[in-house]
Amino acid sequence: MSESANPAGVSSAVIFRSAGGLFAVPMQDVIEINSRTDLTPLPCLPDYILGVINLMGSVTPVIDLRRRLDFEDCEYGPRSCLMVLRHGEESAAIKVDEVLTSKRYLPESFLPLPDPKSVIAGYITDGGEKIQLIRTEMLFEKK
Amino acid sequence: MAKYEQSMEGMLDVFLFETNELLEKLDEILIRTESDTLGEEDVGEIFRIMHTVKGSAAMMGLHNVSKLAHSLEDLFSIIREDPNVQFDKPALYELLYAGSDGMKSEIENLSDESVPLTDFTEQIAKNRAFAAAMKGEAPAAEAAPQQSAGEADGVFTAEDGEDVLAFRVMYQSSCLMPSIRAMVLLKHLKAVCELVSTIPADLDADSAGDEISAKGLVIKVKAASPEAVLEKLKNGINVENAVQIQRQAKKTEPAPTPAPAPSSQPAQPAQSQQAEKPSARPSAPAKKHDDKSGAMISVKLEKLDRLMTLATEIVIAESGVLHSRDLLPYRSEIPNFYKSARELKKLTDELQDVVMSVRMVPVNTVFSKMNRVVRDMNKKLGKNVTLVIEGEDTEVDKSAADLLGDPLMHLVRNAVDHGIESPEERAAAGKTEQPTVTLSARYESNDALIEVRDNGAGMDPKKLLEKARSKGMLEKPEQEYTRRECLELIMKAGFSTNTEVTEFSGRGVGMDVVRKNLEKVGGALLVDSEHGKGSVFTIRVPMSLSISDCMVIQLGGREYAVPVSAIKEIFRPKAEQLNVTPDGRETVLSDKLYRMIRLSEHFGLEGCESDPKGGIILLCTAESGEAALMADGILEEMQIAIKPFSAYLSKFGLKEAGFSGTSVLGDGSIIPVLDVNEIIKKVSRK
Repeated sequence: MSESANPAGVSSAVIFRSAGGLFAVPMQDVIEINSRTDLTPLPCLPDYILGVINLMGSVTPVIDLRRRLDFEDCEYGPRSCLMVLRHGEESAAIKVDEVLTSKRYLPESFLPLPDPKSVIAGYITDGGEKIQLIRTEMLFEKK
Repeated sequence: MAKYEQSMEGMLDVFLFETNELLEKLDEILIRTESDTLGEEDVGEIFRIMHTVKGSAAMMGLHNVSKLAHSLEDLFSIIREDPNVQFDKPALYELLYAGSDGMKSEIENLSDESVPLTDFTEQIAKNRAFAAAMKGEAPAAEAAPQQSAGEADGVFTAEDGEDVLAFRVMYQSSCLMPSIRAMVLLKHLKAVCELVSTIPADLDADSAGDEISAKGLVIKVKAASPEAVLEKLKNGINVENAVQIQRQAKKTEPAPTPAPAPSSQPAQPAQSQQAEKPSARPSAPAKKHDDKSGAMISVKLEKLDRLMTLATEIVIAESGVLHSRDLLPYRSEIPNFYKSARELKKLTDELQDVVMSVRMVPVNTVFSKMNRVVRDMNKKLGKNVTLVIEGEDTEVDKSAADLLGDPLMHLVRNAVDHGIESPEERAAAGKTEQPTVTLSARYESNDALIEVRDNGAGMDPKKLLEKARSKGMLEKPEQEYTRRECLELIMKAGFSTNTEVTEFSGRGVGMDVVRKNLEKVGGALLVDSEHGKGSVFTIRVPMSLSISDCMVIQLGGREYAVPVSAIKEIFRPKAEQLNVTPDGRETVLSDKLYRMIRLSEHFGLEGCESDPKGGIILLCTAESGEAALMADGILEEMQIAIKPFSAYLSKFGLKEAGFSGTSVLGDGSIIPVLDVNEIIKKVSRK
């Protein structure tokens, strides 16, 4: 968890693109970002779980974020990659179109969504395009 | 500041382990002998346990525990010396259970400095008084320092004028806070006299209660009518007796009535206890447990873990060497190599077996603890539930056994508290059989199945649905809930059908936590119920990381593993062996007709062989039946370590779909492992 110390109140997130929208995940939930393609598909799983990959001995599921969020399918470009997220003792990788950057923001720039069960925790408004912050916990639940 | 002797820190682990074992043994004996006879052997055993705990606790500097054990040891030494001594058995057992619980919790909290050392003085006093009563003595308690003749003089001091009267009040042994009672009593006394002083003088002091329990309360007053004072005292709440202390005449009757167990009911209660637990036989851990046959040694679990990992890795490495692609071209030319290789395989297989068995413990280690749980609950709830234990010799990995404890306790408590109806309800429903909770354990493919079954009220899916609706917990329209899903609502966080939260269960937090914890290790919690008849909860735990001999098969261009243990025969079928009935059921003929299951269809895979004659048939047998599984082809046999699915993946019912887990091969690739039993089970249901 290589996080440069944040002054109190400041949050960090990794910004990425998926299905044409801008999304973010809390920095501390990101284990690694890689461009692995050696997926092993597993039958009898919902279509948003593409399969599993071997991450340091651990059999890790790969979730297609587009399908998970019910966006349209289309070809993934050359910049698509996997972002491995952690939740408690579990980890899962999400396939995204492109990882852009990391960002720090203050509480004032964050608009929380009132529904605690939504995959989206809220919006980061910091000039420019609105960024949807993902609630990592909900990614680890069934759709 | 530690609660035990610091210089003995190195011995702490051993002390904890051994003492816990002894206390478990004590509980076992208590449960078995409570409604049965307390034999000479058992008495000796209990004595020895107390003796050992006394000694080791003292060595560790745990003097409170040591003294408590000492008081019980003395008690049992009396019984040992005189097997015919009379005593109140139920009262004795209460003291023993209290002692066991006290010591257990003290040891549990030993390393927690925020929990202070327990003061067992009151318990010790009770034990000593009981012992004294057994000997027929007035329990001039040892716990109380001075209790000698000349007490009368000790009561009246020089300042007390001639008009000062003294009374001694003895409180009943069941009175827990005599100092509080005393204070109230004194208030009432003011109506008939003038209070001079009391012994103990300060009723607020911490030690006051103990002093009063041991020696009684001395009240010095000035009163016109001693009789009126005596009357008021005798009518006090929890007052056992009250006497006036005469000056100098030494007519004092120190401690007039024995405080605890009136030895007026000797061994008789044993019979009345019998009536309460008619067929308690099944639950009593029978004496057949001579598990101490052969020398034993206790080992740190981490060392075993390391040993396990090494054994597993050796087997995989050995497999890697033997199946190395480099050898392929020379296979036929090196017969001596393969001979030695077979020897090696035999040895590594045996090594693996032995190491695995080292970590296996019978589930009884967990099951037997439930006896106590049910017993205590029966006392409180009076539902008279019998605990039946089956398959207790089934062995599971130690880590699995450790994690079974809490869920089992939770489920057993639920069964007794909510599942089993009260005697009146059962009678009204016309249920004549004993209310029973059955714990059973057995194996099913790679898992151990533990069931908690009750013959109680069962659950009504409709009611559960309603409750969930009223709590706003429904995630989809009511009509869409299947019967099974309704029953599973009970395991959701925040759900609790009981309106009262009892001290044993309720609060709706437990089940979902139990389930999550099980799923974390690849296990599961299932429920089934029949309204009016009873419910059954099933805990499934995988038999830890195990190495299986597997056959690698091909399906749709990908590889899958099938445990060899499930395979009877493998062959490419000929046309004559294949049959299709008019209603489309395919079969394969070998020694008899086997139902054919196309794995490609079962899993919804594409790009697979459609003609059985071009594929391969695996004749399989499992608990749920037999069948001929059809695959595209087979590759080779391999030793692999099967890992159950992670908690997240377990949510998708992969097991029911026919997968037991995955394996990471030597080259880093992942191969799914089939669960033959589940595949056949699913097909049989259609």
